[in-house]
Amino acid sequence: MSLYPRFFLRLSLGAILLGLGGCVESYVPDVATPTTSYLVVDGFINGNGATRIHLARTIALATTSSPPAEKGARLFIFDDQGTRYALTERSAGFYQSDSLLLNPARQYQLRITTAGSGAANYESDLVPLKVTPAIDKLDYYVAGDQVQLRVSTHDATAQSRYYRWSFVETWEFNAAFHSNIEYYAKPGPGQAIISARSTPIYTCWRTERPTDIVQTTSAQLSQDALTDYVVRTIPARAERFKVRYSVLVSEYVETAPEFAYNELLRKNTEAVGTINDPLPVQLTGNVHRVGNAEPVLGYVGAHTLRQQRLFISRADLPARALEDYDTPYNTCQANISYYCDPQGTCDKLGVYDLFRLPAYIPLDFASDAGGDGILGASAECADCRLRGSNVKPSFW
Amino acid sequence: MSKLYPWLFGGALLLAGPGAWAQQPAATTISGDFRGLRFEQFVQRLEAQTPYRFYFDPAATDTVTVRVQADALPLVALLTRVQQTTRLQFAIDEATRRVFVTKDYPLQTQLPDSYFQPGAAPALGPAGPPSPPSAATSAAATAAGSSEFKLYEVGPRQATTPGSKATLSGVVRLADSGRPAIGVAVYVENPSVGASTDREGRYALTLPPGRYNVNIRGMGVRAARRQVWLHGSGQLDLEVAPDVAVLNEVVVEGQKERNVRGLQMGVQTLDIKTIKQVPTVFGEADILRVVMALPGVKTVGEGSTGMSVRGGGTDQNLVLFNDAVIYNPAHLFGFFSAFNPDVIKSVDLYKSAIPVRYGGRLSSVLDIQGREGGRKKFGGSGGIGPLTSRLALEGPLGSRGDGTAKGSYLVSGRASYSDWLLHLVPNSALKNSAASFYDLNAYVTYDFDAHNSLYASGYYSRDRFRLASDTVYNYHNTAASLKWRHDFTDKLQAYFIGAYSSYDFGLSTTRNAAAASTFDYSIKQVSGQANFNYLASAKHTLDFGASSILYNTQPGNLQPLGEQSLLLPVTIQHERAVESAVYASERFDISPKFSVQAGLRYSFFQALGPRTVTNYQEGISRSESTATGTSTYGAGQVLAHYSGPEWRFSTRLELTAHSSVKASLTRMRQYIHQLTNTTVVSPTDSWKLSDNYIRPQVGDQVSLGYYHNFKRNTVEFSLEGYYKRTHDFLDYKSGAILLLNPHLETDLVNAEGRAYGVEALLRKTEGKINGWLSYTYARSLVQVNTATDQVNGGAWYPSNYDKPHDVTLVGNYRFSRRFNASLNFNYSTGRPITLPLAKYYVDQALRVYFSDRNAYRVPDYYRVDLAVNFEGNHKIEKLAHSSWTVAVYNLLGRRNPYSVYFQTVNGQIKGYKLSIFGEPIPTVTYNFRF
Repeated sequence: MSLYPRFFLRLSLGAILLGLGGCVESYVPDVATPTTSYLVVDGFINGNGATRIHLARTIALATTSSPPAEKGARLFIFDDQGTRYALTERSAGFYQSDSLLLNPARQYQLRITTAGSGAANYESDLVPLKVTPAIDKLDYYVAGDQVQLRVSTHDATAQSRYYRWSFVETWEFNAAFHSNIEYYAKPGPGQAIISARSTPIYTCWRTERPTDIVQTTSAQLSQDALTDYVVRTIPARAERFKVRYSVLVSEYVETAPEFAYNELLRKNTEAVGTINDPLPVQLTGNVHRVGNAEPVLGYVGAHTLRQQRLFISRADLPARALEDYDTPYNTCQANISYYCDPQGTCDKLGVYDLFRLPAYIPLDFASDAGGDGILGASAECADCRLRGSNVKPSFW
Repeated sequence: MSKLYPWLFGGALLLAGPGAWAQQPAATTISGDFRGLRFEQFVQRLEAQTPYRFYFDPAATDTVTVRVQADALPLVALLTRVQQTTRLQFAIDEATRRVFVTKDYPLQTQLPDSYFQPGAAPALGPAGPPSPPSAATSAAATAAGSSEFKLYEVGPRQATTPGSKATLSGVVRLADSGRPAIGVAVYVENPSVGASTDREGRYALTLPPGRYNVNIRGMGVRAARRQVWLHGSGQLDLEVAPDVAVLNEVVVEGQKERNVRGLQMGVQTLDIKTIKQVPTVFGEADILRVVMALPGVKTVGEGSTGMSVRGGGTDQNLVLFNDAVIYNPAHLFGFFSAFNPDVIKSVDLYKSAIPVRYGGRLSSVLDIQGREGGRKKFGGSGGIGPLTSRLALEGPLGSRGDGTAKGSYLVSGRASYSDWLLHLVPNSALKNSAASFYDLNAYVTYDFDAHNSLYASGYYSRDRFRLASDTVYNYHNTAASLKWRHDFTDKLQAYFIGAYSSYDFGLSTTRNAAAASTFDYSIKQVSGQANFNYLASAKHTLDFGASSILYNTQPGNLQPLGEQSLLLPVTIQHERAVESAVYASERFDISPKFSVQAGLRYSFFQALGPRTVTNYQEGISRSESTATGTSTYGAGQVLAHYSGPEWRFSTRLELTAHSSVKASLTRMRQYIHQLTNTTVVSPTDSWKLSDNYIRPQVGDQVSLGYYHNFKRNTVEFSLEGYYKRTHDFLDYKSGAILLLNPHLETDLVNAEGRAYGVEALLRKTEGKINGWLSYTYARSLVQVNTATDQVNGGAWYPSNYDKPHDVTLVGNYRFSRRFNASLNFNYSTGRPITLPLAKYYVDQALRVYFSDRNAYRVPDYYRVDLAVNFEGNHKIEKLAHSSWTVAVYNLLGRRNPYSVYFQTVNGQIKGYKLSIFGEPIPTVTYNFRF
């Protein structure tokens, strides 16, 4: 609690300053790109299931490509008794162990040996395995224009204290327009080039993983219990709620140092460098290269996971007009491309050529004062697959 | 013939003293026995024997009996004998053969050679023959010397021995208000002895007995001269007419030579006039903003009153308002300084040779003096600006019966109406916000008699702001001081000061009912000081005294708010400590060109119980896991003791009449530390006292300067260089928690600092164009390299205040008495910053790898401001005098970086530059005075 008033003060102050004639401009610092890239260790030791670790390298700020995977490394989980569990590389840079049930009385670490010319040994600090208590309740609450996701949890033994959550959000949504017809490059026997649609592109499901770090502590409370703690706030007009929304909440318990590390990481990334902020930290984590001071990035903790899923449909929330939702389709338009003028002169091939382009989707045949034609719209407006999957998830 | 025409000046010689007599040729000799004759008879005999005619006032001579006889004596010799036995003085004009006889004072029969040279006053000089003892004159004339034509006699008439000295002292007051005239030069030309009046208007001149023309010149007073015959030490209060058209006179003439002749180095004095000329962002004169335009002082950001002096931290500046400490001299996030410009008289900033009477902060002392109320009549002044308005009322206290008052009062208030501004901001969260402040001042002065005066000052300020409706912040400054001046003798003066200061802030949040809370912090200090000033001789001045401060802090108190709050109350142990010092310094003017001031301050600090102190394992970084147990100290028990000497040494060598070299060596100790992990001063910054683990900060500085005045002292140039070392100032471990931390020592590390630089200042103090231009090259470096904690691998790195180049121009052009314009130009190197160097993904989120701390810099800063002042007419008899100030802040609209920051937006790391005043900001302010 003591952390956020200052943070909040900064945000508000910034806003006041802007009101006084201030301005924010984009700024690209003149910084030489570092020549070396450092190992990034991403993942945690799962006390009840498979441990998945992703190894990669840092990249320059301006780089747009994805970071290079660290391939061919050998990884083991060690406990403080010397027991080891191997991880195997499933795909480039992704390493996975068997499903393990680890003894919570022991401490664990990850040991890595990289391959290739820069071969080196790395290890994380020994950490205790934190066992996460069950989520007592996961619900939502409408607070004005916001929908709050709330979690209640408790630990009677008061061992947990530091909680973190991550989310996987999935929602059903519709494209701006129904498309009843489709362009077939190779029409079947008796089928027109543009004829009835066989691939549904109107209803899709989109999945997002918010990357903000959401964590809190009950250390200042008399009981190790969180009641209706708001873990996530979403505007009620978000597209997520236009049809149906689902969120999978994962809860896990951290150690105090891991909590502190994540708190710093949050401050470091989400807002840094303003004069009112704490100094950014050259934050590396708890992984070290053996016998070398080379920075290694990432914090390998050990805990078990608790998950719970919540659904919210449009009908669950206060009524709202459909056009009142924020969707990327609000500016979409559909137009008729005529192939016959009102006098009956027709030229279908030119119009077919237009719909041959994947960026333009035929919606339906249409006629009006301008003649006969095909109603079409851009793929961004008509093809929901550009923003999601048209395959209904198994849990839906 | 018996009429006296004192304005008749002949053209021959001045009969001024024995030396002059002897040089005259004995044209005529006189013989005869004149014993027992009345003076008139004596003259008749002389006129019969010689061609000389005598002019005298019979009323002044009718009691005189002559007791001389002559045998062929020259007239001059004879008259000398007469003069030795009577109080008569003779002036002989050889050209016209006239003798002018006066009582007590010789008549001047010709203009001195230097009369027509500008700046030189008639040399009546101290050469008059000694007067015979007389019981008729009073011992001291304390009545206010207000006439140019009257001769004021000071001290008992007595035979004086050659080489003896007498001290003339008193208070210079303004005739209309009775206020003391401060910083006014009081001087005589021959011998060249002068002094500048102090804050109470007091002056003291040590001179050989004799007759003098005492000149009084200075800002705000009409240049005046008083005729004084100094017989012995005594007091003469001087009353001078104020210069109504003060616009014409901007410079304190008495300080004209201070740049070169003063022993102090690294001191800057600003009067309120100068301060008011500098354009500010909201149109209201801002003391701290102007101080930040001085060389060696750097702001830590626009809209912040935090300042760094010669590379020091924001907590290393002692801010005194009428002798009481102000902990947070800022209003509304620092957009306003906490001091109402209407009640300020002047500001002194000490950067290097800090006088021994000050202590407790490493970098600087900012001594702000309040203005005394007027002593003649009730009056007021005020101003109306876009965000604040202010009003001050003043008047006399306790009439003396002669139209002057024994004392005065001044009360003032200032309040904001900034709330409306927030409502204009197109942001729903801010529409629910509020921010307001006010401050109140009172200052009472009272002279019991010539030797005892009392000064009482009170100050209170309050800030309150609510951001987005669920967190309310507030803070208060309270300061009060009582000062008693007592003159034991003319040479020994003392000040006894008692002061109280407190600062507290609180915040309450209701965001989450289960965690609703209130938080309070406070620091209080009570201090006493006795300060003596002893004028041992013309060459030796001694300052000595003692002071003691009792601190009491409440470092944090968190309480649940409301029934539903699950919050556990947390109260951090209170801290108490006593900081005391004894000090003495001696100024020795070895020769007029070479003087030395050597001082020693010995300070003691005792942290007092009751307190429970956690013990830690030796040799490893302190943390909760290395705690071994606790020690408990009872009330008043000393749990930590620190003490040490602080030397203050300065010297001045005058090279020519217009140039000098000065050097100083200063050590300071600081026992109280500000806890902040931001570079600006924020209302939630708290202060921590030294204890078992937090050692006092110690700073050493050597500086050397060259000073030169040009153009008859109207242009001053100074060049100062310095090197500083700072030990044990506080730095923080990463992610330190500063509030409500019961084991704060585990989050703090000791850092070493060093700073060096050169400051050049060219200042023009007079004329249509005045102002200053300064350039500073300064570095400020930090090292954290303890056995357990390191930053940047233990290497030296630039501190947050490291801005090597800085150019400031403050210029003023007076078009006429009613219309002047000011221009402000500022350039400085960008502030150091820690930049992101590389990015990586963890948990599918983009993260950033940062550079070494402060390895890069934000873009350079520059800004131009312009202000125009229109005064109303200058008729004295007017209901109210008013003026308008139209100012444009940041005239060029340069988007100076207040900060550069990086945010993750849609998975990309983007850099942003925030400018607070990114566009020209015009303001109009109306000021009035009645």
